[in-house]
Amino acid sequence: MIVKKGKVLVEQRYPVNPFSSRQERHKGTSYLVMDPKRSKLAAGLKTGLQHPPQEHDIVLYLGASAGYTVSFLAQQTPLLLAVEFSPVMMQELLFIAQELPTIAPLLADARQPEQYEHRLCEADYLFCDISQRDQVDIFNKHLKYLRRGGIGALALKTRSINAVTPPDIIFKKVLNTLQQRMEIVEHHRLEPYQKDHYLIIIRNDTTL
Amino acid sequence: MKHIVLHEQTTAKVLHKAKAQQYHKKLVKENTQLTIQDLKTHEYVDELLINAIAYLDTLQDSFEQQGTKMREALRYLDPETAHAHRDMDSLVTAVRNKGSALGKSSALGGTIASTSKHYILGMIPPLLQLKEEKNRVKTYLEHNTSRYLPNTTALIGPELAARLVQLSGSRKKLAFLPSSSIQVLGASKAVFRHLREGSKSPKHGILFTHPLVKKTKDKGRVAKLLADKIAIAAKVDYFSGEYIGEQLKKEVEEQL
Ligand SMILES: C[S@@+](CC[C@H](N)C(=O)[O-])C[C@H]1O[C@@H](n2cnc3c(N)ncnc32)[C@H](O)[C@@H]1O
Repeated sequence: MIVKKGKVLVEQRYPVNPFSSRQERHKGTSYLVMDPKRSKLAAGLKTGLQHPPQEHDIVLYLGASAGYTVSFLAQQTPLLLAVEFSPVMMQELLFIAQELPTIAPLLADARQPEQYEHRLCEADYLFCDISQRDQVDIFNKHLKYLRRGGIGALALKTRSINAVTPPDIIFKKVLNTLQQRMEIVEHHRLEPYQKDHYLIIIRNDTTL
Repeated sequence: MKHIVLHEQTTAKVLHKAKAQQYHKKLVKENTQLTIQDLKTHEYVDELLINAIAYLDTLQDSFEQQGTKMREALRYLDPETAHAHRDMDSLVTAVRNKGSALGKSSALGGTIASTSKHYILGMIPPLLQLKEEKNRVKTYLEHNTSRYLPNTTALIGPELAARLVQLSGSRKKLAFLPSSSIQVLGASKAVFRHLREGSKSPKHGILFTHPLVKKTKDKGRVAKLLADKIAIAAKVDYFSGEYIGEQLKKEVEEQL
């Protein structure tokens, strides 16, 4: 995954990616182009994200949806555990998983990780993209599945927490509560790609 | 010596990697199987309720739109009939019953060629079909709401019950809504305006369409009373399935 001329590119290893027909060549390798308006990870990379998932990271992904971001990430990771609770979204995700053998799909409510933790393994990277009022809670509940020193990314949608309070105030509040318990590595406002969204990156350091 | 250690390390690494890969494969396989199983047993009750009420809306819209064009064309041929039936349903029925006698006894209608008359009459079968399809969906909604939301349905009828599921998202979400939210469900624009700009808070949302709210002067109070009972009904529907619909109805009548 690289950013070139402001574009997020993902190396193409599998023949089919239902979401990206655009390809570009870069230093002799073929890349798929990712849309920052559809992916908060891509939006993060465009706004300066320094800690995206690395090549060998096992990723725990919450809110996989129909698999847009997942379809790119799964091409570089050895294992992507994808949690999604909408059956219809999961159908789409399964179609993608047929093409990408690194996706482990879980149809489950991320509010209750106890119900599926036996189906997980320790992750190097936690990515949480769930637009719910309790999204921060959901993120926190999954930190225990992240290895020590692992990276957690929270795609924060302030509108889901409160549609009336200004986004930056909610963001600061969330940042404050997170800060008390963990090391914040970086954070980005995802404007103009994603309205009222932030990306907060933490390191799972149990000493705090 | 150094060489050997290095070699051992690489072997260990390779072994470790192979093992990890196997384990990952296993996780993918098992999770995929479990997920497919879960999808197979999912019943899509909420999804189909929401689909049906939204489908009914589109049928209703089509019926009104096509009917309006029919009424417009009918004015040139038989304005008396077009005028006599304000309600679209009864207009469609009246036009069907008159058939080719349409326009014959009209004093104000124009001179319409027979091909044009056929053009107008040709609009009726699709309208009747839409009507039939609406009834089919209504029957389906009646059946499914009284099965899955017996108490709520007894209280406010199948369409409004399905509408509340649509607006809240699911039976579960509806069951967890406080009655104050149920009272204004469907008035989200007004709620936001109230929260943002401090305008007057809305007194009712979709409950406005309920006959009891419609006919009273004190809409706020009746909507609140209904919402209180719906909140109970939806919870009982979701958690126990016990039938207390008649009792709730009686309570509403008494407190009116
Ligand atoms: C904003 S979308 C995610 C988009 C996706 N990450 C992408 O970039 O392609 C949020 C997703 O979270 C899912 N979701 C919401 N609440 C959830 C929960 N409690 N547990 C699991 N998934 C949930 C929704 O069904 C939806 O598909």
